[in-house]
Amino acid sequence: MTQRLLRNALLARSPGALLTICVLIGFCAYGGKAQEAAPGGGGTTVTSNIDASQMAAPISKYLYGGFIEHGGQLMYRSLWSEMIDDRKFYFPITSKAPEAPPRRAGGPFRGMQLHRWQPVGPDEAVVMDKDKPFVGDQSPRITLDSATPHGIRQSGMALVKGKKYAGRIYLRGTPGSKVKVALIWGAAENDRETITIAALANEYKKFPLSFTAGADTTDGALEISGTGTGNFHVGTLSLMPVDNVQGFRPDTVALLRDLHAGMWRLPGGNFISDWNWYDSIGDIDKRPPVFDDAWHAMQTNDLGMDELMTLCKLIGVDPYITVNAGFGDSHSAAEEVEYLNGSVNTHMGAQRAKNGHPERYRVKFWNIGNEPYGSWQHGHTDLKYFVLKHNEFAKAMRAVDPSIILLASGSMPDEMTVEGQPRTVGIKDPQVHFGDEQVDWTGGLLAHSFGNFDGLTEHWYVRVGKRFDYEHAKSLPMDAPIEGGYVNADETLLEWVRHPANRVHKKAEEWQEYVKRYPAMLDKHIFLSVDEYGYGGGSLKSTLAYSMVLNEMFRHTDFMKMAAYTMAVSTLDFNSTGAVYNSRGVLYKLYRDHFGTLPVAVSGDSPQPAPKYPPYGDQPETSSGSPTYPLDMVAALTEDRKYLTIAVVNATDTAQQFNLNVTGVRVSGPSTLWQLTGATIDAENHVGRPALVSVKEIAIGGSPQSLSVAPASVSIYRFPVAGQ
Amino acid sequence: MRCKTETKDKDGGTMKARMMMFAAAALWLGSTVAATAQQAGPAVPDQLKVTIDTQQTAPPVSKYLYGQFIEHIGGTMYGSLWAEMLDDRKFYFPITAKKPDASARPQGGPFSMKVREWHPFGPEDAVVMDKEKPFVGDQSPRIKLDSATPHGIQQAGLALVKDKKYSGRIYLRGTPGSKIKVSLIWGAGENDRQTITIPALTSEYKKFPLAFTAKADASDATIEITGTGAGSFHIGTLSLMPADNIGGFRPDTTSLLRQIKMGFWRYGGNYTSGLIWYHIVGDIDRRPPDFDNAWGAMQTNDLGLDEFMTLCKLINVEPYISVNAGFGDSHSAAEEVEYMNGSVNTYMGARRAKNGHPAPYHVKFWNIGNEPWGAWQLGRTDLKYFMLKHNEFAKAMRAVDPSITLIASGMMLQNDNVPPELRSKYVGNLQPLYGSDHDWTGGFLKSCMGNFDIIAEHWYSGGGHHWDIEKAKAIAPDKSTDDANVKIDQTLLEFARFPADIVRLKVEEWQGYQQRFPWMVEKKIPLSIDEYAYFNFSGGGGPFGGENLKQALAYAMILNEMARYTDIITMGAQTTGVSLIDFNRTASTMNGLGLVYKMYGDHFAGAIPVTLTGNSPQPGPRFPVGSPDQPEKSSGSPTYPLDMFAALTPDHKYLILSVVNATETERNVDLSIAGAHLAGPSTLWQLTANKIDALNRVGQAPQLAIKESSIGNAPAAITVAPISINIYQFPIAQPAQ
Repeated sequence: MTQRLLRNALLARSPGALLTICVLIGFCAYGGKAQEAAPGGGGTTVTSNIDASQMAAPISKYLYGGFIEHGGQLMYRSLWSEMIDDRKFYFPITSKAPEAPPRRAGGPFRGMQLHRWQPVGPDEAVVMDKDKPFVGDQSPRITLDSATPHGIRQSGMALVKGKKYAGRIYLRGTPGSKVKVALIWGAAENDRETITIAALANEYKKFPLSFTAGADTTDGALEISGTGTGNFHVGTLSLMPVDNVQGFRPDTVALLRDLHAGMWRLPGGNFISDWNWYDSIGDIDKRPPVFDDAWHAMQTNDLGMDELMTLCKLIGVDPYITVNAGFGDSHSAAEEVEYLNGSVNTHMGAQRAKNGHPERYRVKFWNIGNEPYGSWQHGHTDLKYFVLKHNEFAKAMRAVDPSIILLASGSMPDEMTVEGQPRTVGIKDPQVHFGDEQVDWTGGLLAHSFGNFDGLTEHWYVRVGKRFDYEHAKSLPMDAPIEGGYVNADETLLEWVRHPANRVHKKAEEWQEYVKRYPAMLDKHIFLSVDEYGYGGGSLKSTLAYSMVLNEMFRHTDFMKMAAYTMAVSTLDFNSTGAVYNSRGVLYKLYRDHFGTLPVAVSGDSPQPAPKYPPYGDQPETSSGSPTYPLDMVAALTEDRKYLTIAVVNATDTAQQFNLNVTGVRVSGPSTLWQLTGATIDAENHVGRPALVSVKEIAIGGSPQSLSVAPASVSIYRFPVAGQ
Repeated sequence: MRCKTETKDKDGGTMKARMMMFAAAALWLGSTVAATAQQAGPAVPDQLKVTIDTQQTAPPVSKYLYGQFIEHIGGTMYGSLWAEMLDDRKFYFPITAKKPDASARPQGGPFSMKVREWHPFGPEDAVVMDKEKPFVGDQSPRIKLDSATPHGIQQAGLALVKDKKYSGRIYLRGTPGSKIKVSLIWGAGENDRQTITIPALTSEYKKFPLAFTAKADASDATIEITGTGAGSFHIGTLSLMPADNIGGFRPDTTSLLRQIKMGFWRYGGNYTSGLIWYHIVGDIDRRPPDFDNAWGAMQTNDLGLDEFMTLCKLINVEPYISVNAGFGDSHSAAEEVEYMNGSVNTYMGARRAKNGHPAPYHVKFWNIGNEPWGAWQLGRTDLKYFMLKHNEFAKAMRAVDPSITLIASGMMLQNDNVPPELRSKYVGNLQPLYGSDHDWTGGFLKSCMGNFDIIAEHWYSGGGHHWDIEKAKAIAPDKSTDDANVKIDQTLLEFARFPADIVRLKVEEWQGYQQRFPWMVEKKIPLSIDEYAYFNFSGGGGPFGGENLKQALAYAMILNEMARYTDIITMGAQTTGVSLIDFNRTASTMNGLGLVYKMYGDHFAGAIPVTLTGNSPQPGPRFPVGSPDQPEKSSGSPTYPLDMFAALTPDHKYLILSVVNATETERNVDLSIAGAHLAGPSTLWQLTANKIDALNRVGQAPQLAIKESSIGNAPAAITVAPISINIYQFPIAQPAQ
């Protein structure tokens, strides 16, 4: 994810950016206003010709992938069952409100501020002891009083009545101390369950915790307190609902599993560039908490490499790991490969086995560095150095496991241009040119690292309501913000929806240029992985846009083999105790469940209008989409070739008719339409409320030649292929 | 080592050394912007009067002030210190009969350190670089045999000494029945060779010893590995050294260096930023050869960490290691610390033991990164990121060994190292640089407090040039900052004074930090000028030019100036340690620079500086402030035109006095001593010659030597010879109370 989003979110200067970030991670409501349909969009009937004899490369299941990183507490809140924040006591414990901290806890991810520990009893009874800490740099020492309980407390926990919670706590203390742990769900004296800890000793000892909540609450608390004459230390503690699945939330994991996302790219992201992966393996209670300067967030490292592998297994996706090529080096990356893929006879493989995982994970997809091209990236260096670094990483990683598929972190001129990278290296012209030795990042990798990767990656984020303007960018002073080239865009609903698909199309145009320059890309089957992308909103409107994005990627299956939306849990709406698919989740599930995998040619009599702006920045030379304006259509046969499926996006507010001519196969028999639409263009799904965006299954008799597509909808038609 | 990037070579990432720029400037720069020479110096009093107050003392001169810097710049260390006679002994480069084409990337790095090549013996197509199961690195040569004609490989250009013994080893495998011979050849005659017949080969690599005795002197001897038979054979690697090597090192050069009390050697420069240190430990024959993109040179990795420790022991210096913070990370740096300092019970300590070195080395000085602030540095990143990176490194390294001394890689106010668009802001005015994105030292002080013990600084300068402010202001954004260098005419004295003024400038800048960060003074944070050089390029005598008497005078002033600030500067490392000697492949001699360091190391290491005043102040700087080579106030002592520095020996038994006369005229000085009474036989060590360009070259009669003479009782006046460096030692009759 790019720094622009971070910066704006942090400064909270731009509500739009904050909104972007929220929806990318699947949280807050989108308040955008629907606009009028494009003139000329409705009323006329489009003809669409589908030629099933013209088949393109299959749609890879990896095109439905998701990207997720430890952006603040995102993964902990959405996927992990831990209920205690800062369980390793990274932050000091005080009753005072923190002063405006230079480093903020929690990062920009809204609603994910960490719950803080507070002293029970006088502040000065709690001291962060840096001498022989249990984990990290400090453990709280609580001075006891014989009469008044002293201790620590954390509130803000969501509890469900009758639900069981279990965990553990590590304590040491003066023998004779009386220490109690209480789970509290209300203000009354009986609104709690208290566990009395057995005798403490001078060495840390683990004690089990087990509670049943007596009531529903969103502000439960956990309190550890004691009385006595000496003191006690809390090493660490953990509490999870007992129905957790190997530490994960059963509800979100089950929903995600049903998306069949193919792969997840993880665990970063900007996060990866200052992260030491060695800190995330071994005894989960002994892994040090660290501060991530990319997202300004403390990380407990509970959800580490082995847990990520468990997660991928639980949700049925292939892991795709990005190694740290920011502050990290080739040796550490190679050891990471060895940890995951090495036999138990290797140094790192043996460590994995010792950590309880003798079977190698055989992780296939590996990415060297996250967005190394961006000046926001920790350890960002010049292209001429990064290509050398990439080569060193590739050699070291392949030496450990020659079977891995390596992805180089590219960035084509559109991304480099809209992110204002030329100015960061002293180039005045905002438009990046192919072959530029400083700022054509993908070109640099092709020129200097060929042979050291199998695929190239690309990231894009389309700003809601904005567009890059070349003339404006040209007028900027050298020290203007990197994203200063954006101006407000005046877009119709259809243009708004079309915008991100145009970005996909731009990538395809640029790819063709690289192929022209480096024909060896074809011989070596170099592929493109758009493994971070995002657009605004969690509403029906943005779902239409994502649908066009998918359709556009399916038009380029010859080289687009992987893709991952940001963030992978942005398909869900969730709170601490529940989760549902949001409209984007509904969309991805719709495609995965019903759309075919063998793309066939679509032509038509209504070309998409040409782009409104010259082809600078992210503006393509030609428009994305099918010649079925205003509709967007792709068609594919199912893998068994028994059905022809057609995906149709109607991003207008009126019903649209189209005539369908199918050649190459004969379709007949009872057909089905799965229609995604919502109450309004702004409709969203939220946990605990009725779904406003959903898919309806509609039986269609025969194979009609004229079809009507509902306004603001995504339709997938399935026609049986005769003779199959 | 500091250098400037040139983007003319796409493949090699070729960089051009800053020092080479100076050379180019010296030879070809026809600039007319040159400032007018000031031939007539300021007035000198009729009689120079100097007062030394032995009661007013400063902190002792650190024994680390005379340290040296070294790195693998191409073959720098191999050509001077290491005894290996064969180049590319691990077959990094393909073996072909053709001369490499000119556009090929350089193989040996800068300074004409060409790697001698292997060539086929017999038909070229008989030699194939086999990438299948190589013995070491990516490939091993496979030689297809013929039953009648010998096929094989050879390397020429070896230097041999008559009757000297050479020994080594070769790893071979091949078709059983192959007949393989290894010959050392010193002449064209049939008998001008010694041939070893290798016993039976097998399909697995086997090590065979090599031992030869040269029967003649030669500068172009050849080693030849050939065979006859039916199948093929592979050469894994081979090595040949004079039998008198000491742990792989040359006895001649290491014994010369041992005579100089240098205190420490810093290991690591640009090369470090691409170094995978794991590749330079373990079985020396199995370490992979790597290509170093910093200097554009292949490295065999023979002279690795354990060997560097052997070297330090041989030349009696403490090691100071820079870890890779370019492409390298904190985990690898911490493991490097553990390899060097960890007990045998640690993972890396056990590896060290397995490599034959069970005792921890207890390396004290560690430097995080090399010149991370330089655009030429592999993996360079922005200040804001490097500060975080430094902190991460410091934490990881100290977790392994809390006793280490950490040196942060600082850069003070360098307005010749800011982005072009910002030049105008800082040229002529260094003050705004404090606290800017280009103030690295300030960045460490602001963001890394507690994560370093010392801050490093590097400087390079060349005689005859000055970075001109007016010219700098006019440089186009796409032009190098070095374009602001103008040729200046300098008197001998100005030439000698120039680099000491840079030391003075560094001190002035440091004092600026002390004002901004008073805790530096409380915590006694010192400065380590752990790379510096003043290039001469008069030709001959070492990689950086002739270390002649003229150069020696300038260095003596540098050393005096550093010793004037013992409260600030506690370490110094000259570039490079092997610049102190002149050497060829078989012999070496101490050069003028080595003699200066020997003089100072012998007498001033540990000495206690005392106040020296005089009646002849140094004239103010010749050019305006705001240039990276001009201080606000001149360096030196108020004894113009002489440069003088006085100290007590650590035992307080002697007053020692350094006097540098960088003029062609003999000078008289009246000495008056306060606080002590001098009496008894005094001694003078003097380095001079009858001409300013006198130098020591290997194989030629020395033109420079330190002359020791007794001068009777301490005189009230001394006469200082022209173009001379003098250290007087006067016994103190009644030690100061």
